[in-house]
Amino acid sequence: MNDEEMKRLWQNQPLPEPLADVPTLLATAGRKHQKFQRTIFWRDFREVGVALVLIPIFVASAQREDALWTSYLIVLALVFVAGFMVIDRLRWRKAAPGPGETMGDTIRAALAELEHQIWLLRNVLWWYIGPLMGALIIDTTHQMLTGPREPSSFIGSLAVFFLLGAFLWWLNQWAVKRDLEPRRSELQKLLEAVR
Amino acid sequence: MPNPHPDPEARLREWLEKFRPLLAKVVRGFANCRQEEQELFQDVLVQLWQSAARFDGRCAESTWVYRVAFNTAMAWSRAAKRRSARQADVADFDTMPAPPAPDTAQIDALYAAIRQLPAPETALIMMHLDGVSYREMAEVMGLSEANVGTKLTRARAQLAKLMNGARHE
Repeated sequence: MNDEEMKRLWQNQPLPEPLADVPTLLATAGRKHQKFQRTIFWRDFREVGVALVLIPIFVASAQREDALWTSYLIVLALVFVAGFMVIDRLRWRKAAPGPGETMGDTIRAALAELEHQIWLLRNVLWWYIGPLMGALIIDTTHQMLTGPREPSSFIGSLAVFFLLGAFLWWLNQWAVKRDLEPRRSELQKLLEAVR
Repeated sequence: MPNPHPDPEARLREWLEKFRPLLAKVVRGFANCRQEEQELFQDVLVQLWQSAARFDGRCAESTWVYRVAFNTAMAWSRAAKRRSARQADVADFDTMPAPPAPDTAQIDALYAAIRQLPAPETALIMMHLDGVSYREMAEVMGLSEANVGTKLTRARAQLAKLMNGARHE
């Protein structure tokens, strides 16, 4: 086949069906966002579910005759964490854009939700790790001061709590850096384009 | 002369209408199967969409669209090679090319040969087959016209060899 024949073949080739267009592109961005929302939903579901399972267990343990009042702090911390996550979800569900929004609105809404998730993970210390670890540390300290716990076991427990807290904090910051920040810059670029 | 501050979405729609054949050919020239074509096409659209607001009319629209499409396709192709090296032994029915229809065998062979060329030569050959002038090719690729001529001669010879080889197999 010579050059001219190749040109003729190339220029007369049957073109495939359209691969994607602007609505498809928007739908793809939408699908990515829905996947992200599903991940967030199941994460919250797991966290709240675990808290709801643990609350009656700790209530029962706090009601034992020899239990200390500090056991209720753990219940309070679990209620706070579960309540915070449920209220946060409800607030964001109300703020979601309705159908028929423009491309810019969709991206802005996705970006706002993502920013909020970044904020949540960056502040995980005060709404998740702090209350839970704080309650556990107060309870353990009180047990040591009032007698039932040995100082060596107390130090061991403290070390475990600190390590667990530090690991959870690191895990959340790593998720922000690895998943959420790259996604944010992707959405910001898209938003720039539609402005 | 295009409006200096147009709605990027409207411009993208206009380009899609006007240059869809060009985009379809570029995408097919760099992707190996329908699924990859769709991925690459979406990437090209995102890049075109992002670039639409920056288009100032200092070059022809076709030059701009070619440039964005080839740059995206070349970057995508580099990333795809890295991906496929990692997933070399994973077979997936979705990623398998459809068997060619008898009347498209020749064009399929041409695409297969083009895909074997290095990425810049792929871009040059596609523009050459589309009948683009050396001047526009030079603008798209950021090369001198003389350089385009040299590279294109080499690419055409390579393509002819590949095509003739395919026919003799």
